[in-house]
Amino acid sequence: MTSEAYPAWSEPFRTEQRDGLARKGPFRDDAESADWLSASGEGVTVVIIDSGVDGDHPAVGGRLVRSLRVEISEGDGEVVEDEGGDDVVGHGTACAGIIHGLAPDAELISIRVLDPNNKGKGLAFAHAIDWAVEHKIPVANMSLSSRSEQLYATFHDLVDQAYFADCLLVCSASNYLGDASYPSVFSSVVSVAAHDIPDPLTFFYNPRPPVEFGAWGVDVPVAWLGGSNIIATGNSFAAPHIAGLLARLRSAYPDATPFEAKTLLARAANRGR
Amino acid sequence: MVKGGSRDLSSDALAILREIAVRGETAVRLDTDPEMALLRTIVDATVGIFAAEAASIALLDEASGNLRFVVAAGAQGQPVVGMTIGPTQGIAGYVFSTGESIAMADPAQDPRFGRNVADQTGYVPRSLLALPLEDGARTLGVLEVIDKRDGPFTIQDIETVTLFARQAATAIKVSARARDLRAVLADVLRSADDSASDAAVDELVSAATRRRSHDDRFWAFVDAIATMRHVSVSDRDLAIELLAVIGRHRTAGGRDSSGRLRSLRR
Repeated sequence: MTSEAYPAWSEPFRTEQRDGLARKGPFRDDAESADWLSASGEGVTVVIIDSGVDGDHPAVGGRLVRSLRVEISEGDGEVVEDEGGDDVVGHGTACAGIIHGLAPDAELISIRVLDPNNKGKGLAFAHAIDWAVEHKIPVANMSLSSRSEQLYATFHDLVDQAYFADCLLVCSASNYLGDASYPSVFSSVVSVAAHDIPDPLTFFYNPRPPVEFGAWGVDVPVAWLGGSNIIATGNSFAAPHIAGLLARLRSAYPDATPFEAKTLLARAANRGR
Repeated sequence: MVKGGSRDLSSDALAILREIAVRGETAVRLDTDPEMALLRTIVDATVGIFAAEAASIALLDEASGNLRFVVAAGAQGQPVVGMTIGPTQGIAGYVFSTGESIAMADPAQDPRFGRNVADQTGYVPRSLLALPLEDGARTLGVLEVIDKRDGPFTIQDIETVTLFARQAATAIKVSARARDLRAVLADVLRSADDSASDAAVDELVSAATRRRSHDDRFWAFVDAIATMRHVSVSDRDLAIELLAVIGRHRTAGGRDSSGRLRSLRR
C-alpha cells in the first residue's frame, strides 16, 4: 500500500487545476461565514517541529517562549531543553515567522529535531510529536517528513493519538514527487502543499487525497538565519500558513476538535480560487 | 554450510573466496567509473533543461560523514567540485539532513550560504534549487541547480528535477552495491544458506577479504595501472611493453634482463 505512486502534491492547487476544487458538498454557499479568521491566536500555543527557531529574529516578534530538542541515543529519544537554543539551518525560523505573521498573539515553542550529526531523524520527529500530544499542544507545525517505512506504524499510531488528544498536526507534503512521506499522508493530520498566489490568507481545500489543503508556498519572503530574510519555495512554507490560520481558529474556538477544525477550515477555503 | 564459520569451509573453498575477493577489488580499482559518468550526464542534462549557470551533485562521504561535491556542469559549476561541507551546513546540508527540497531566490542572503559556498567559489547565485538524492529512507546526497535563465524556480521545476535526482540516486545505489564486495559476498553466502547466522557470515566474509600486509605492494601496483586510464595511447602501449618485459624477465628467473630488452627493440 505504501509503495504506490503518489501524484504531484501541489497539482490540485495549480492555476489551471483550481477549478477542480469547486465545492460540491454542503458548504458551497458558506465561504464568507468564517468569523474565526479575524482572531489573533491569543491563548494558543503552536509547536514548531523543525531545525530550531531564532527567537531574536524580528519576524518571530519575541513570541518564542521555549526551545526544546530531541536527544537520540541508542535507538531511543528524549525531549530536553535546548540550552541556548538556536536554529541550525534557518528553516524553523522561516516557519515561525510565517506563523507569527498570521497569529501574532500565539505563543511559540520550538522542538529541534535536526542535530549536526544528522542521526535518528525520523525517530526524532516521532518523539517530538509524542511530546506535543503529551503536553496537549493545540497546533503543531511539521514542515518535515520521513520516508522511513520502518516508522510507518509508529507514525500512524502517533497521529491517531494526536487526533484524539485534539492536537492539530499540520504537515507539509514532501516536495519529493512520487513517494509517500510520513506523517503527511495520514488522514488524521492536516496535510498541506503549495500554491503560488502571493497571499497568506488564500488557501484551498482539496477533497481528493492525499493532500487536503493548499497554502502559499511559492516565492514566499521568509525569515532565515542571523536575522536575514530570503525568498523561498516549497511545501515547507505552505504548512505554516495553515498552522497560523489554525492558531486563529483555536483562539476563537479553543474546544474545536480536529474534525471540527478541519471542517471550519475547509468551509472558509477556496475564496481566491 | 556457512553456519560454523570459516572452520567448516574447506581450505580450497576459502582460497576460492579469497581469489574472488581479490579479483573483485582489482576490478573495482580498475573500473572506469560508470557511476560518475552517469552523474555527469545528469548534471549536464539539468543545466541544459533550465539553461542554468550550474548544476552539481554532492554525495555523503561515509568515512568523514561530510558532503563532497563530486560532479558539476555549467559555466559556474566547476569551482565546487572537490569541495567538502558538513552534513547540516548550508543549503545542501539542510536538504541532506531533512530530505526536503527547497528553491530559493537570492540565496546569498542566507549567511551560511554566503560564507561557505559563494565566498569560496567567487560566484553569488540569484536563484537556487536543491533536492535530496534518496534511496528509500536514506539520503545519499544532494543535487543543486543554480541560476535558471528564465526567472525563479517553481514547484513544477522541483518536480522535474526530482526525476533526475531519482535517476542519480538509483545509479549511486546500484553502483555502491556492486562496489561493496563484502556486502555482495555476504549476500551470496546468505543465499546459499538461509539459516546462516550474521556472525558466521561476517566471519567468512572477513576471512575471504582480509588483506595480508605484504599485499600492500600488490594494491599499489593495481592503483598504478588504474592511473593508465588517463595517459595517451602511446604511453599505454609503452607501459604494456614494459610489463611484458618484466613478466618475461620473471619467467626466465631474472637471469638476463639486458638481453631481453635488446630483443624487444628488434
